[in-house]
Formats: sequence, structure tokens, C-alpha cells
Amino acid sequence: MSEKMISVENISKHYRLGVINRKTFGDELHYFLKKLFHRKLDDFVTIGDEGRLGAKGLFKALDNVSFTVEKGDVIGLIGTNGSGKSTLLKVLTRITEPTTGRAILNGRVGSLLEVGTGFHPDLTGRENIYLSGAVLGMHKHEIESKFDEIVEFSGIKDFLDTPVRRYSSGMYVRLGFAVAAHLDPEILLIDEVLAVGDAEFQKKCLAKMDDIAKCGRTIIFVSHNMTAVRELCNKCVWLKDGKVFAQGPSAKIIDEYLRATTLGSGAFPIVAPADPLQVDMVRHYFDNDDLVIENDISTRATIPELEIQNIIKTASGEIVAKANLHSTNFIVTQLNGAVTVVARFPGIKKLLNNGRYYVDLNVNNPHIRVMLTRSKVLEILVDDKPALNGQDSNIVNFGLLNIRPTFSKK
Amino acid sequence: MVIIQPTKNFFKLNIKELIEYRDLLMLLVKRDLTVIYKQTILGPIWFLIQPLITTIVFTIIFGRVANISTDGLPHMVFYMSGIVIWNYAQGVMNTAGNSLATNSTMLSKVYFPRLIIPLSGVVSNLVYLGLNLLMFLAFYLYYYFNQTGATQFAPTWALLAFPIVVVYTALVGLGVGLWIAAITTKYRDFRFMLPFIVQVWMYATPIIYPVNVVANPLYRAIIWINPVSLAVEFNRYLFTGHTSLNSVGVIIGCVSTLITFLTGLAFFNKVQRNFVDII
Ligand SMILES: Nc1ncnc2c1ncn2[C@@H]1O[C@H](COP(=O)(O)OP(=O)(O)O)[C@@H](O)[C@H]1O
Ligand SMILES: [Mg+2]
Repeated sequence: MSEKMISVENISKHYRLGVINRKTFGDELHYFLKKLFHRKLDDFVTIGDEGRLGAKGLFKALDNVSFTVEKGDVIGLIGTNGSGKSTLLKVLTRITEPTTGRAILNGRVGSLLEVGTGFHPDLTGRENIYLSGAVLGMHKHEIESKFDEIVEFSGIKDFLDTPVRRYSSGMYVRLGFAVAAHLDPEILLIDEVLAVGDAEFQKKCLAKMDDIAKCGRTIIFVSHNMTAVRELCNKCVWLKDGKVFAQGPSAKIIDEYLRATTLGSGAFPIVAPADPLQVDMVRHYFDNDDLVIENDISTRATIPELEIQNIIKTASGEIVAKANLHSTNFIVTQLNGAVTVVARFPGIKKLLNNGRYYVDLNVNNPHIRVMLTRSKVLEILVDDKPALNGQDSNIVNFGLLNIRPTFSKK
Repeated sequence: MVIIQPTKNFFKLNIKELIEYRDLLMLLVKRDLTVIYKQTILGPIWFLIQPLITTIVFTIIFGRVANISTDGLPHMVFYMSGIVIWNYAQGVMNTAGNSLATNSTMLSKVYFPRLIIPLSGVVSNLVYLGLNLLMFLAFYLYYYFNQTGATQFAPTWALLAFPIVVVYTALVGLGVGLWIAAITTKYRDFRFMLPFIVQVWMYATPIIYPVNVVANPLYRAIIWINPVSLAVEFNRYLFTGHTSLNSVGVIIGCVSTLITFLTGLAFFNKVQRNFVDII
């Protein structure tokens, strides 16, 4: 029978945006006067987006989040920036309180939250190791028994008696990770730390986390590095706008996530999150009535097979036409370096009414998974159709197709 | 097993958890002491010079120039017996008052019972209290063996109760400090008013005058409501046998300390749970 290690039950966390700017008695007075005269309180709201704003300027960073983690699970917590991952870890580490809901943790928690740790800058590395242990609720002799391993792993032996304020950020993270990982917590919460530090150390950390997981410890791991998440985690929880959007086996959730991570008009190059691949540019032109889309792709290592999809959509998202494996039977093989993949949509310009169209781009490992996905990489303007009956012949007035239907009496 | 949920009872004091974290408390004490030792040029000697200079200044200005009564006691003994206590209360108050702000990086990365930091101030300031006391004892013994004034003074048996004075003073400092930590978190500009408030507070404490020279009953009431007054007067009584203290003063002082501490604790508990959201 598996044992529940973490149980998150309807956790919500609301940030009070109004409060952020009311830091002084002066502001308080100003706020009070504004409230008195029922004026809008815009001046006091600073961050956040409309959808997650609740009553009274409350921002829902976490919105009824529930999931459970069993002993030995390694959970990847994924989601775009601002989706609430760090907030969730802060709640689970008791750094900040949830607004509503409850979480039960069944064991000692070790954590490494974003860059830096709970180190005190004036104390030496040695003193900070003891401090971190004590923070975990450990006693001196327990820390002593792990001390050498920590020093060994972090590789800061020569700087043990230097105050940590003189450490480089890399050393800081190394020591932080070493402490968090070696003080033997039953639950380990790690937030985006692998973004810092060199590649070699990242590998070392991942290996260590793998070890910890194999010892039956429970880990929640936040990362944008999907390769690492895929390798390390058996399950994923996908947060979106403060809610659990999906959860399940890593491979499945990561694929869905990569497919959906949209946000168009992003600047080039578009770098694949987990593969040595990037899209350097996508451009289009009209060749008579044909639409031609050119995709410049480059790789940093050999990729055996890849498939490109260019999907033309209307502004409201209906698919107009697709160039993909099914329509083209086209696969790029053994790509190492740069290539331009050209998609041609014959005669499409003649067919379309005036309007703005958008192109989505996917690069896939054929039949297996999505490597890169981005919506609205291009905007295509069609504006050559003459006005009809005094009306501009756009999609809204005449539909998608420029086919000039007729009526007659019979 | 840890259950995480919104706090409902702000008066809660989880003593068991605090005891579990005693190693952390001692490390923080050590940290406070070493950091100050490293950062000040004079190191611990500073903690002898500061009260000495204050006492000398008081002796000259309030004793000689303004000629305010010291209840017949030697100036040095009278002032220093108050300053020693006041310094401890203020030291604890400062550490507790700054506990959230100065440790914000640590607080935003790791959990431990937040009350540990103010409590570490209670302990680390004991060291300075000890230094102050040593100096006070030197002067005290000198004047004790060279009594010239008409008023004689001598230690009382109640001196054995000195630890109670220390605990009481710590509670006052902690209570006020918790209030300050909470208010400065909510309103940053409160910090600028603080030195002024502390100054006024000191003059409302019978350090440079004995309570019995205050005739106005309202002022007298204010002095007794001020929780430090009891500690200062009681300490003076222990060492000299002279005091303006009466049972009403003792009761008012204890009640006011208890209220300060409990409300401070509640306010601190309320603020600390979301403190990191607004830094
Ligand atoms: N202290 C705070 N006060 C107000 N809003 C905050 C605070 N911390 C985070 N937020 C907001 O909450 C949302 C979630 O943030 P976060 O948990 O850091 O997301 P993630 O780690 O997934 O990128 C963001 O929109 C962020 O702006
Ligand atoms: Mg984050």
C-alpha cells in the first residue's frame, strides 16, 4: 500500500494587491480618503492580470489547488511563468500561509527555493551549514554526521571559513543544494534552482535527486527544463493561472504542456525546451495566388527525423488550412545544422476573403511527440479583394471564402 | 506530521515547537554576538562605554545642573541601576522589533517558528546585560564602601529575586518589540518615528528621577502604566533598599506587561504569517 506523503486540499492563496502600495501611514490616509469618496482604487493595484483578480483587489495566485503525492513519487510541477508554482512551494514550506484550504505533510521538509537559500551572508559556509540544519529542526550531532558529505558535494572546501557574502552565485547554489539534499529530508521541494550553476553541476544535482528518489524520498521539482522533468519525474502537475490544469504521468502531461505552451508573436529564435533545436525565423510571401511559408530551422545535434506543421487559422482560431505530415508526407531526416522548410498553399490567396490570418508552428518528432510549439508565429494580411455592394469584402461580411455566391429566382 | 492551514488563533504560543528549535535559537544568538563583535571596532567594550557615558552625562546634566533628586542615593548608583535595566529592555525590544525586517532573506526562503528570532534577542542581550551589570557592580561596591551621604543604602535579601527582574524586563522588551515588528511591517514610515517614541518612553521611566518626586497623579499613573518603571524601581530597591514602589504600582506594572506581551504576540503572529508576501 502506498503511503500519502503530501496531501494538498483546496489550497488557495490570494495576494492583496491593494496592500502592496499602502506601506506608510501617509498612503493609508490617502487610501482611506479615496475609499471614503468611493473613487476607484486603481492607484493601489500594481500587478496581476484581470482574469485572476477577485473581489477587493485580491489576486488569486493559487485557486483551489488539490493533489496528493505518495511516498517515493517525484512530481514535476510545471506551468508558465506566473502560474503559481513558486507560490505553491512557499505555502508547502510554510514560508507563507494559504488563504484557505489545507495541506498535510507527512515528514520533514527540506527545500531550496529559487536562487539562494536561507543563508546568512555574514556567517561562514561552515556556520551556515549548521544554521541550515538547525532550521530543518535537526540537532547538532545529526548535522555533524552529514557535514563531510555536504562539503564534498558542494566543492567549496577551500571557502568553508569564508563568509558566504563573498561567494559567487554559483557557489551559493551549490552549497544550498548540497545542504538541502544531504540533510536527509523526507520531502524535498526544489524550485527552479537548476537554472543557475554550470551544466556539470546541474547534472550532478539531477543525479543526486535521482538517488534521493530511489531511496524512497518524495520530491516536488519545479523546472522549465522539460528534459530534466521528463527524466526525473514519474508524475507531473500542470498549473495554469493558479489552478491545477492537468495531472498524471509525466510523459503525457509534458507533451500536452509543450503542445499548448503558446503565446504568439514571440521573438525569434524559438528554442525548443527539451531538444537541441530552434526555429530561427518564419516568413511568408505570396507567389501569385500561392502562399509560401519559409521555416528556418537549425539544430545543435543530429536529429533523426522531424516534421513541420504550419497551420493557418483565423483570428478566432478556426483552422483554414494545414500543412503537415498528413498533407505533405514530408519529413526532414538526419538534420544536423540549418535547413529551410518551405510550405506552399496553392491558390489560397484567391480563395480567401480580406482579413487577418495567423500561422501556428509545431515541430514534431513524427508520430512520437511535440518538440516545439508556438502559436501565431506569423500574421498574414489579405486585402486585395474589391469592395462588394459598397461593403468591404472581409470575413465578417462575406465569410471566409471569396467565392461571390449569387441568388436568382426560380 | 505538519498541517498547513490559515491560523485562526493568534494568541497561540507553540512552546513545544520552540523547544524543538532550541539549537537554532542558540545558533542565532551566536550569530548576533559574532556579527556585532566583528562589526564594531571596540567589540564588547562598547557595551561598557555606552552606559558609562550615559551615566556620566545624566550625572552632570540631571544631577548637578538640574539638581533633580536621586532619593539621596549617589548619582552613579541611582542612574546606573535604571540604565542597566532600560538598556536590556531596549536591546530586547530592538532585536524583536527588527526581527522580521533584518532577517527577511532568510524568512523568505525557509520556515522555522518566527518567534525564535525575537527570543534569540532575549538571550543574546543577556550577555550585554551581564557586562552592564559588572560595571554597575564595580561602581555600586565603590560607593557602598565609601558611603558619605546622609542616606545610607544596602542590598536587600530580595536581591535573590534579581532573575525575576530580568525575566520581567525581557517580557516587556519582547512585548513592545513584537508590536514594533508588526507595525513597521505594515507601515514602513513608522520606523522614522521610533527613535522619538523611544526617547519619550525613556523620560516616562523613572531612570533620572524617583517616582516620589512626581506629584501630579496623572503623570504618576502614566509612569506606573509604563511597564519598564516597575522593573527599574524594583531593581533599585533590590540593590539599595530605596524605592517609591507600592503594591498598586506592582499590580499595574504586571498587568500592563502582560497585556503588552499578549497583544504584541497576537499582532506579530498575524503579521508574520504573510510577511514575505509584502517585502
Ligand atoms: N508577494 C506577492 N504579492 C503579489 N503578487 C504576487 C506575489 N508573489 C507572486 N505574486 C503573483 O502571483 C503569481 C504567481 O507567482 P509565482 O508563484 O511566482 O509563479 P511561478 O513561480 O509559477 O512563475 C504571479 O502573477 C505573481 O505576479
Ligand atoms: Mg517561480
